Amino acid sequence: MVTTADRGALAGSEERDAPSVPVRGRLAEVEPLDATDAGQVYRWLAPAVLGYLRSQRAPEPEDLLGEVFVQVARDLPGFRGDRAALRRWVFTVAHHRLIDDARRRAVRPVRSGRELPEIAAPPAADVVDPELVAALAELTDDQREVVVLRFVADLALADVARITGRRVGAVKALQARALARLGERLGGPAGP
Amino acid sequence: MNENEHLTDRLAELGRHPIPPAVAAQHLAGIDAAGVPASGARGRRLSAVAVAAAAVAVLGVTGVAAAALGSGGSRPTTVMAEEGEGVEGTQAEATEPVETPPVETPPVETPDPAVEELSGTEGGAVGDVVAEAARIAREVRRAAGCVGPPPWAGTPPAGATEEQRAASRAAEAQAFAALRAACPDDGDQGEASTGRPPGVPPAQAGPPARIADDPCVGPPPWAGIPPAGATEEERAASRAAEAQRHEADRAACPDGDDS
Repeated sequence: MVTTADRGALAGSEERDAPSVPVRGRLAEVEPLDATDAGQVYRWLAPAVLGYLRSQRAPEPEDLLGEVFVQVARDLPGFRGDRAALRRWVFTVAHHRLIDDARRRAVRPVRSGRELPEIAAPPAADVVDPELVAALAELTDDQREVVVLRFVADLALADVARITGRRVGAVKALQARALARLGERLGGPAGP
Repeated sequence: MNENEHLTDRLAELGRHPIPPAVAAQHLAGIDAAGVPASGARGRRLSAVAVAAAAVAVLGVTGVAAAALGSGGSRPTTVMAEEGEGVEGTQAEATEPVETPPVETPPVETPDPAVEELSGTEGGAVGDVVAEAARIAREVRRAAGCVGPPPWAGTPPAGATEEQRAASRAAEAQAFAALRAACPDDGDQGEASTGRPPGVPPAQAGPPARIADDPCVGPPPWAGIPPAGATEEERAASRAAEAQRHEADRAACPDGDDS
């Protein structure tokens, strides 16, 4: 399902007007990519999107990842832009799907007939950095959202600001506080 | 160097974890099902056209081959349909709205024994092509009005009075009869089924005549009726007399149609 916000991000922003030449810079990639092939886009961005969904504590991140890319495949013929725009658009879709999923679960919580366990289940075996994931879970929702979009999804400050609907200054502040808290939690150097 | 670089590196590593192959395969299958590139639809249309062209070519070759190999008086129906009198030209003069069907259509949909044998025994690619061609031919016939209900079915006739409505519907029926007469499977080899006198162009024949009213076509009038008579001899004599009368009637028919 394409939300209004997704369509706005796709059609009303600079993605439609951006030139189709690859940009040079931090987000530029060297390997060729056929942006009209949803399979190639999946192979390029699915690991980052899955990392984003896991870091945001999506209950079923792999299922959500599939939903994200099904929507991407449907809307990809209407996309115009370079790699950076494509990455930004895909993460916008993922962001909205994540919010939709959380709302859906809040309205229709999953009921289980089983009793809750006494102790928390250990992290899944395929989680790359359990310590970091646990530290991310201690951040506020706003801090985690910003820091994950910024570094896991590898988006620029302006892109994170656009996706989350904040000003760039607010994103910078949230990022600084999140990194400081992660540094304290993980024991590494931290600072603004 | 950023003092948080070790943190950002660890965070970035979360986004580089590969997708499990089984999960990726499932997602890619979903993507294939959801995203149809524009070239895909165009490709399907082109392939349908290619199948139709190949089918016409195959049917043409088999029709000619069957004509060449035909034994006795059993000519391939495709050839008969192509040679039928008055199929082209005369109908357009009689009723303007009638469009003459494409010339390639009759061989496609006329049941050709050679084609049926080909599609039934060989199967595979050629059989598929023949089946696809038959399907396309059916669609063409349906689009041309050769099958299905008449276009006015379910709609009231136009006109304010009863006479006007009757006249309107009669005109529609006449035009539709001419259209159906031009259809390939209503070819001139099947005049007995339509009641059209031989040699008369389809558009001039009008609606099919009743077989019971025309001794020149159809089964003999006693068909399905037991002969009169109390004894076997009487019944045989009665039936012989009827046959003799029918033979005389048939002899008076315009071209001796004995169907």
